[in-house]
Amino acid sequence: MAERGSQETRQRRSARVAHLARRELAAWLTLIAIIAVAFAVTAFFVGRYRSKRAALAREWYARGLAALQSGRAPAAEAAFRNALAYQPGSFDATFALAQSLAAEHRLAEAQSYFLALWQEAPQSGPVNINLARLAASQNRTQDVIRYYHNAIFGLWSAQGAEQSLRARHELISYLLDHGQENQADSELLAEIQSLPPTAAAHLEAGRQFLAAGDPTHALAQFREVLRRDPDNGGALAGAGEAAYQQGSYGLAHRYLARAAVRLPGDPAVAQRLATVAAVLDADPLAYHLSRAERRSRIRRDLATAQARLAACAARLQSTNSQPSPLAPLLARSQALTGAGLRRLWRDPNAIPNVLSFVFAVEEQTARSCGPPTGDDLALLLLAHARELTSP
Amino acid sequence: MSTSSAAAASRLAPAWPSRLARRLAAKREERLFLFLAILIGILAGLAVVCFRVTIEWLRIDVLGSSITPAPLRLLWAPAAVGLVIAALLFFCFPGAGGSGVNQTKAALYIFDGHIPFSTVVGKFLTAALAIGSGQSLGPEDPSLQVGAGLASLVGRKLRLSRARLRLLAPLGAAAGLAAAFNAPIAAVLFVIEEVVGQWSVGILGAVVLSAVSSTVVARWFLGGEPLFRVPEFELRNPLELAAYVVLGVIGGFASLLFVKLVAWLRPRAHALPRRAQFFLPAGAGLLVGLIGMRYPQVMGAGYEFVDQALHAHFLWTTLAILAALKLLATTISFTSGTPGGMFAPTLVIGAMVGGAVGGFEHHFFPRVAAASGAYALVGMGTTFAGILRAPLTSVFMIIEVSGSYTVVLPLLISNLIAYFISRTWQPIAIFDLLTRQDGLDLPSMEERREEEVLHVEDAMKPMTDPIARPSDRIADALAAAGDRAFLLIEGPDGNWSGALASRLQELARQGEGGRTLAEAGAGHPLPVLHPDEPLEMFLREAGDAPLLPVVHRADGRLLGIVSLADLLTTYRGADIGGA
Repeated sequence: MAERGSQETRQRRSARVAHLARRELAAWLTLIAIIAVAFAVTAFFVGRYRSKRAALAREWYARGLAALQSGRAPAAEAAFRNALAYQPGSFDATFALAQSLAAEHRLAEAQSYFLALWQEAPQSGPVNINLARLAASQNRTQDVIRYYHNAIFGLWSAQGAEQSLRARHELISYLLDHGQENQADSELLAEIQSLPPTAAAHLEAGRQFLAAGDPTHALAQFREVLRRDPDNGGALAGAGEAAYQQGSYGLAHRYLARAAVRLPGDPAVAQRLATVAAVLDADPLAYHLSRAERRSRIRRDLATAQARLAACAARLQSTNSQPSPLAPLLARSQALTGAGLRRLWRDPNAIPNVLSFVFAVEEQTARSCGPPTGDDLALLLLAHARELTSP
Repeated sequence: MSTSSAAAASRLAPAWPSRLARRLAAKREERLFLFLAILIGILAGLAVVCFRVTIEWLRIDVLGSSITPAPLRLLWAPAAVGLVIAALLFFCFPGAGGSGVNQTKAALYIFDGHIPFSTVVGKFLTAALAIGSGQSLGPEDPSLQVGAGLASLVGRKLRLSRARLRLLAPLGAAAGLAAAFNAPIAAVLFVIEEVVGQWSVGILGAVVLSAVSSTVVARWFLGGEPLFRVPEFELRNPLELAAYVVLGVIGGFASLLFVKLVAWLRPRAHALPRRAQFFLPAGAGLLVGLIGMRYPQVMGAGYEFVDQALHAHFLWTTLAILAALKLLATTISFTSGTPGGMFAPTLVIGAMVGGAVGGFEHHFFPRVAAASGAYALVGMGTTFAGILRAPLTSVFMIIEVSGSYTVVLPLLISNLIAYFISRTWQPIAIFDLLTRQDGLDLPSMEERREEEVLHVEDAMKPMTDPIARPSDRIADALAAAGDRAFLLIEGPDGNWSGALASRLQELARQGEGGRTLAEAGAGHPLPVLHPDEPLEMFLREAGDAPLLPVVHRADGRLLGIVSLADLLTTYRGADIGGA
């Protein structure tokens, strides 16, 4: 009897334990189910919120771009900051914000944003070109060159070749503005490898070569333009200038004469043409001259040089008590007057000797009394041309 | 684990050897508790994600989508929302006011871990409305309470024991805070430092698990980026540490000013008639809105502007103005009884103070001080240590939210100085102050940390009584003991036992006086104490023994004894915890 009672008690206890275990399991399963539902609800809620943020970011970004394009940089800045608040770390919005800060001349802030973008994408062409422009505005030449080079070889989302070329062009302009002609010339030599086949591109390259002091490559570029557009006034003027800088005054005259026709109102062309004409007119060694004409030119050149020497000596004497550097030339000049000059013409080396004196006078007076003009300038150019062509 | 499972285990126990059954049941409970900690972490993490998203959504709807709201809207929107908050607090959720930290502590120490679900809902709604409408309050403390409340709800639904329910609140609190800050280590430390008050192996594992799981959930939904993007930090030269000392001093006094203002203003606000109190959140909203018309940076939690301060986007003069205005706005919002936390404003004030001090130093001493960003970062920790008085949390939190470890040295210096200044001129920490103003008697964790712990060596006396050997005859031992009631016996292997004189006398009367103490089994083994152990170890170990031997840890030689009388005398004589 007692054993039966004990068995019943045990059965009741087992049933109770099973009931408790089922209830506990149900409670756990309910908890897990609630968490799963909460997870789904949260995911939906967060998804909606993200969509809203993305829409707001787009809206503010568009507003910022519109403001930036219409020149309202402060409004653009505020709009881009809002866009960034809804899409933190957005490359485009950060880039645009930095651009608007730069437009507001808040260069340090703009630079910090561009540098943050550079950390993220050091190969980005747009970021590098903007950093280069900021560095250029602060005259940090090393950074300018580094960032422009990064931009030239960087990644561009569209029109990569054109953007790259533009970056190099800006770099060349910067170098030319800062007196670094040699480096600019080497950049130009690299640039012409990738120039687009247009007259405008070659014309610009030719001008930059001229500014870099490389008339040879400049002339080649202008000729490239003229091959495509033979009547291009700019190219004719540039070619004339390049030939002039090379000392090829005949060639320069031909280009400049054509340029003067195409660009009748251009005073620089007219002035250069006049100078070149004067040089050609003063040159006693030109091939086509008769003996009389050659002598006539030499006489005229000598007279011009002597007048310049006398004027310069008088100027120096009035301003300076030091021994004049013109004294030896004045002595020689004295010897080339009257009987001395007549004796000289009997000498077979008369022409070279007179010319040597004329050129020496023009060079020395240019050093002592400043750059010459008119016929003296023509004689000085002839002197330089002879230096260039003499062995 | 639960009462039901424990009951089931105990009911099954008769079929098993009882000790094994108890052990297995205990292990199962432990495992289930850890699993529950993970589930609570996930639940709290989900709630905090929704809370943060709700705040942002409300901000957009209430103040507009621009981060610099339209001035006209600032005039009416925060005040109008303040009225809604007051209505909710007065008529629907009266328990949802305040920051949340003290309410969680009250739940833990007064209400056996019970936090009503209505309080959780109320806190969620009212704090989201308050922060979303631009009140200068933070989401972290409410997140802590929401997490604790959800944990409490789960515990109640699972019918956990009262003891387990009390353990669950800190789990939820840590989970809520970790998800809000995206900083599990700081959350665990804060809950241990400020809520639980002691390191206990039993709870630490579960707290860590819940904090980590909630952080994972928060990162899943909101991304794993640190709260702030921190600029590169580099200590230029050792002299720069002096600059951080200056920051510590200024940050300390700024913290002091904030706590004093809250301490002065809050009771006055609470003393107003109930009808007037109804309009306090609206009034606070109006004032903060007015400040926000010129300086929108002081509104809301303000984390986006901390980022700008870290990257030196403000002049130091602007930062100084912002620090002062944020301090004022937070005081107004907080003392008005509007639900919301102090964590975020504390950090923002710190960033502005740090940035201003750093900017000033960099401007006037550029060779000594680096850019102001690093100072803004250290400033956050400084005011956290100075205002909230959780020094350990302040250091780890800055490291965690910034992801930068190089800042530790200046952070330690600056935090400790601010903590010291705040403690010197404001002996009661802000959470304890709020508790006392609310008429509650909760344990002060700062006081607890500073309680003097008595050690065995404080009560130990030199052994002057004779010591018997197990080989001594009972009669000889009795003679040596004289009129002493207890005889200490030193065994051959350095083990100790003791015998009551009355027991020896009884053995002697039975004619066993000629036998040795060992033969008669007269001694009872005694545990030994070491001088460095807490004095309370005596009570745990002594059992019926009137005294215990104190021995050297290295060679086991006897250094002295401690008796119950010595222990009581020592406790009565000690000045413990300022008692």
